[in-house]
Amino acid sequence: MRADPAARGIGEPAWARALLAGLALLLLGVTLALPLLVVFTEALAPGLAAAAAALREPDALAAMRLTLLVTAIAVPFNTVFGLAAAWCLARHRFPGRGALRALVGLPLSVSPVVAGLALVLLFGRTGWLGPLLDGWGLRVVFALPGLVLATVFVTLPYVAGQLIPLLESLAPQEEEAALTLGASGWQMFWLVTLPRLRWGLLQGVLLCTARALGEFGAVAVVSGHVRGQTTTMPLQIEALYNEYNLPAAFGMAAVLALLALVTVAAKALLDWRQGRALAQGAASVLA
Amino acid sequence: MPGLGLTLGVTLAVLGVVVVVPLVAVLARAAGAGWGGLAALSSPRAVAAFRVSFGAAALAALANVPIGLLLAWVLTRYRLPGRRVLDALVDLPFALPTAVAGIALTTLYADSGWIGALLAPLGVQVAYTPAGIWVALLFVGLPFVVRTVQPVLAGLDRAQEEAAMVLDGSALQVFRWVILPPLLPAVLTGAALAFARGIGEYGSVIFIAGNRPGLSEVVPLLIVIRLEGFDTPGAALLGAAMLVLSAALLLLIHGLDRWGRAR
Amino acid sequence: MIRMEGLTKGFGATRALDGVSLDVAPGSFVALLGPSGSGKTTLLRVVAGLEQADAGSLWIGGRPALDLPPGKRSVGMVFQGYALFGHMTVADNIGFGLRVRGRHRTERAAAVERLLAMVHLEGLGARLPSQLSGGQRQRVALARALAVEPRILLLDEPFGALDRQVREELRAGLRRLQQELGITTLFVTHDQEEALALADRVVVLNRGAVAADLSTEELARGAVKGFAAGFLAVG
Repeated sequence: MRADPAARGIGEPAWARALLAGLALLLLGVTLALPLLVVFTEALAPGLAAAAAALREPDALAAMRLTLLVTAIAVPFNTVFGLAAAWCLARHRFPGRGALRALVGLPLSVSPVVAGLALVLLFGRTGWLGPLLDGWGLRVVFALPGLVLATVFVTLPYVAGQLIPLLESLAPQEEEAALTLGASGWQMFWLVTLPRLRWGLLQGVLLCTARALGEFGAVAVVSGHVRGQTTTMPLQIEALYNEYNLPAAFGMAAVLALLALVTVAAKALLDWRQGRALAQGAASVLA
Repeated sequence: MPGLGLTLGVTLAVLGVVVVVPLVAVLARAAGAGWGGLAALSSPRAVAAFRVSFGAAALAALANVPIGLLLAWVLTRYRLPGRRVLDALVDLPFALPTAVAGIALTTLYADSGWIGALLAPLGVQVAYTPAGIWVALLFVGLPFVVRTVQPVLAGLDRAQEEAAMVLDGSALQVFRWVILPPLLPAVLTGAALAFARGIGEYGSVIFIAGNRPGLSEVVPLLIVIRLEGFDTPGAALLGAAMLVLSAALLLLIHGLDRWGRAR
Repeated sequence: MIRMEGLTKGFGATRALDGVSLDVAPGSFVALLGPSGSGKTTLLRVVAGLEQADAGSLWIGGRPALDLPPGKRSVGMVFQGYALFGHMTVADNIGFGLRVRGRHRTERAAAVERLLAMVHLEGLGARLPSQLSGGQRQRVALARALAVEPRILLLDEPFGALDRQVREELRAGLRRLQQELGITTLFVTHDQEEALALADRVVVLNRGAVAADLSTEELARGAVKGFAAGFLAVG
């Protein structure tokens, strides 16, 4: 391990460098790596076969299906929202634009439990829309729509948060050129804007998906914990853990942990590819 | 540019129905409790919950400052083997479901756990105590300081450091006087973000906390308990208080960000 | 071909265009000359339909144009940074206008070949813009604009970041092309030498208004007064 020659240190002695690096590694190991290891160790404690069997239990399968279903609805929804928000905020000027931009990020600063509470207060039996929904025979809270809404609330800013700054940084000339060439708004968007956004879009969808899969607090509040029907994977983990069925709980946790690792790796890969693409573009302009 | 009507409409509609109106419902329900509501907010149990949540979050954010600085420094300035992997790992608390983190940390720090077993002979108990909350929030808040400091650190003007070194400054002095000052806004922003995240944290906390009312019960848990006990107004009051505090924090973070940008 | 009357446009407190009136004859090559901030680019963009005028009228080919979107005005525009679609090949760039009009693939391919030949870029259809030199990109931008056979060609300081020799070659190429096609052309520049070399007529803009409007002969003879004289450093 050397100091990055381009970086160069501030003259700290080699032993200090080693100490700092060692400390950093230790911290990363203890705070991040160990919890991960625990998950996999506990999951595989009864052996791989038993762990796999636990995941094939009806409740486990139901939880996985439900999590996937909720994510499969929430993520595309938030992606469309993110594209719409990015377009109107980055390509237009209007009064209140700054406030709207801040509003898009609001869910990030709200506790997930409060988000769930808010949805219950609006869509629950005794909520503002409660009687209305009852009249239509619709169940939101304690049912799939509630789970989807809770997940949408919590993960709403993830795609938008990547797209808005990205689109703001891209000059509008390519889109203007498309318009002068006769493209309609939709054609311009599909053929010119979307391809320019692809890295940010991928990153955003990736982060949104990861968060949606693991959402716990908001979903816990709106779900009613109906086993087999409104129990997503994180809720199932909680239930199994509280029943002292640790192997099964960690088995399910291991699946989510693996997905989290894939997410982290994919994000790093996308960052690298995007960095390369940007560097290539810059280099060719300077050529 | 075309498309303003449609995109603005969609944006406003979604934000309105999914975010704004539900949050307004919380505030309205809380306000509806009138002055009696304040009594519910100042019950010993509620006050204790705020103390626990805010205390643990503050201590965790504080601890994340040196940790985050160290990690940012090592990841930015040193060419470690596998640096990319380590750097990616920092994002883990963002990507890992809170419930997974919760049960993992609990098992790790319980008396029979890998770390808990090491601490038990020293008389230190982490799981099922307020210390457990601190550990969980440390995990959850780890990336914030690192990620806000890294870009600033990477973009520092080396000329100043080199000048300081030439003027015979020790590494420590250079760090203290040349490097740290420009990093300060980013550090504070990161800590504030970690703090904001910590006060509302639920999933990673409830397993390791012990959840004893008055001692290790956090505000989000109390909200859930009140909701499940059909004390909707009580839950709404706590929720509204959290919203107001989050809003204040948000303004603070915004201000810190602007300050950092201006420097 | 183009008629403007009293075009006015403001951005916040600044008046970018202050009552500009101009008649551009079909087939002519007009240079819009002026210092930065004079409104020349704004005027071009208003003609293209990328900016909305606050007041005034505009006719293109005898028809009122202010309410038409850019795509319906029959304008071809070459932007300052070329604005090529970075993720598309040269051929796809040039064929874009035809594609969005629903032209068939074989028809498009034939047109693209023709245009590549016109700008002397034969064989480069499969390249990406990032693989081209500045001068080549400029010609692709031109070909792309001409592909839809517009009635007007608008150019916004197209030769900016190129070195001298490339500029002169491109200038000659542009002039030849414009005369061959007989297309009405508005050319924005801050470089008076360029304006003189290319245009039939030079319109000098200052602070959003027309300061001088002369043919290049008159300009060469030095028949200039006022601001324009100062700007052009006529001597």
